[in-house]
Amino acid sequence: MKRKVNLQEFLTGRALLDTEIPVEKEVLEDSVQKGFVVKIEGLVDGRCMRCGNSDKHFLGEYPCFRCKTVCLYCRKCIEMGRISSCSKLYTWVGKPFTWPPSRCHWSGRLSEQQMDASKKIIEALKTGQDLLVWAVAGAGKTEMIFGGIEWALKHGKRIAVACPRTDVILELEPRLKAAFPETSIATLYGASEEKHVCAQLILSTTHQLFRFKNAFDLLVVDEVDAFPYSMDAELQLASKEAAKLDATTIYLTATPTREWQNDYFSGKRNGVHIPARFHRHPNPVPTMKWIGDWKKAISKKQVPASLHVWLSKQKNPFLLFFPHIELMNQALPLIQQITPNSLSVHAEDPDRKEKVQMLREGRIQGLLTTTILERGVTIKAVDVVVVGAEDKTFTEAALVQIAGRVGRSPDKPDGKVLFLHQGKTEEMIQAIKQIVTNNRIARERGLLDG
Amino acid sequence: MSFLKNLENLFETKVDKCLVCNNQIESTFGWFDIFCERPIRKLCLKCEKKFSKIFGDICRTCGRELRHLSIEYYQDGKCMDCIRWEKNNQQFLDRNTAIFNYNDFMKEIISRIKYRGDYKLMGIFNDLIVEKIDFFKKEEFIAIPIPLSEERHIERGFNQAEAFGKACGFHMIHALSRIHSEKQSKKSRSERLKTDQVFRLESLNLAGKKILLIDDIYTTGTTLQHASRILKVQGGAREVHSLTIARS
Repeated sequence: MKRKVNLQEFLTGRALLDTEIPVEKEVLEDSVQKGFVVKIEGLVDGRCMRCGNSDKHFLGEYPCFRCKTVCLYCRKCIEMGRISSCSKLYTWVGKPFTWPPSRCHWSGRLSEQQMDASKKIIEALKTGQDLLVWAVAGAGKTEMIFGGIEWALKHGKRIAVACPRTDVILELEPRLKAAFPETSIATLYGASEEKHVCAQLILSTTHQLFRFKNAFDLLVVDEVDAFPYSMDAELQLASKEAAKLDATTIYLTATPTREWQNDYFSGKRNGVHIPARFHRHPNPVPTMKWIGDWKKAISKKQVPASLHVWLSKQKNPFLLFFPHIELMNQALPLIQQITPNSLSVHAEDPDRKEKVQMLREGRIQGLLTTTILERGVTIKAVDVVVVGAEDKTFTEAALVQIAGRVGRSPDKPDGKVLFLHQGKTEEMIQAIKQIVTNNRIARERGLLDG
Repeated sequence: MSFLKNLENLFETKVDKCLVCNNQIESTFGWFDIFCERPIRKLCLKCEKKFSKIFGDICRTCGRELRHLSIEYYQDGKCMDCIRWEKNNQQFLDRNTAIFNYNDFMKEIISRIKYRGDYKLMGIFNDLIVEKIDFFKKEEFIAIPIPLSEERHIERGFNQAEAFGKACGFHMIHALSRIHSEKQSKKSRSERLKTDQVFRLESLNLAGKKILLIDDIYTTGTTLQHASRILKVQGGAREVHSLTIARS
């Protein structure tokens, strides 16, 4: 089973279990003897050396047949292959592998604001600074990073583009491979077959960065605020450890936290703000409407009046966001009585992609969804309603992202965003404020037509 | 004193996390919590509901539920698979007791324990299986886990059957070892049924004893039949029962 690989290329910037390294045991041990590779303990003082976990809930013990003692193991990163007290992580400490230079073959044109961001990214790389790229949904974020990637490739540097969500990684893969055909690129996510492939440009879920240590000169973190990256301190630590000490990190997001927004406006955080969409139309501003005790209504098998009115007038395709899957499922048959062409979707739904495609193609009119479709989905001429916008799942970022689904197409740049609520929350108000501010800044800078 | 301590614990709001979904377990606070020390909970209600315990009419031999089978697949309280074992004179196992149906949820749990190696997850069975195992303890069965091959045992680090036995609180004797090392799950049913003896009996006198074999899943029953045969024919065991987490 063991393939022949160049250990220098394979292990540079990585920390792997012996089972993940496709060479004979003797070859590996020989490299350790010669001082090219070091072995580190899998767990030290109750801390996982791969993912950094030390939470007792995510640690377990078992009587180990291998070492005949009781072994501690990490449950947090167990999906990547179990790390126990008796496992070792191998990492390359000899002369690092270097890749031949390659260039960008993308021939599209950047808009003025994209160009500006692209220049700032290259500038950040040259000076070794971190940079926040705050670009609204539909601004064309991906193309902005091509310039920075090319600069890094030209200088023999190693790059990771990481995102918390597999969906986004899969969408990025063909675009990056088309733009950089000569570059060695590996795509890493939970079920990926390239998991053990090594390359200069790594496209990866933030989770898979656990396997890298001190590897990257440029780290681009897309959707930096998206779950679970924003929730999980260990994932943030992983991306820090995966990057070199003097690396440049580019944070791409449409919805930075309020703290990051403030830091950017006050000049404390180095950043570039792109408040307008590629098609030069303003971002749709949500409206708010009282819905009453909607949970009670649904449990009594009634559609709340304000939602009923909206649905019966609705002609365009629509997304209805719900805070909880149970309530959504209860609501589905009620809503189907008004718009029979409706379905529902949630995170574990195996037909998720198919249902979104049906909405895109007009085979259904409406899709009820949990926050799973809050980002990354583009459906032409769609309108959205958030049912129970007061729920704590609907943070400022989530609400801005949801509003960002509307008016994406240049042919249909407007649409309706409605927050149906049982009491306005600070998050709702801040979300609307953020969108209004973006539009105002865009207008001041002359980024909007009309 | 313990009363005060329990109150203290309450105000500390110690939250347990579910071993399966890692979500916080919602506290179901009641009088019990004031007067008794609260046991550590390992499963949330949502996950607990996903288990499907075996109940109602079951096959007298392999312990599977009969009500989902169509009428021609069982006879006199025995399923066709077990009747086939008898006809071929290969029925050595007296009775299997399985606790759960092998639904998607159980599949996921067992695969997480066995293939991912999450030993701690086995702990969720502690509280769920008490009634059934008490019988075997009272009747003084000798508990024997189905062994793994040396190679597989090193690879996994632990034997899931043994881990299950431990979670049930059995004192186990390692009376069997494996001769072949091929993975059972990779073989088809007919291949599995054809397999020759796969176990070796370690030198132990089991004459006249009642044995309880322990394994994770009962699928075709081949493994357990092979083990039962050697325990009876070579070891002289009087009765061989088995206990598995699930019946697929």
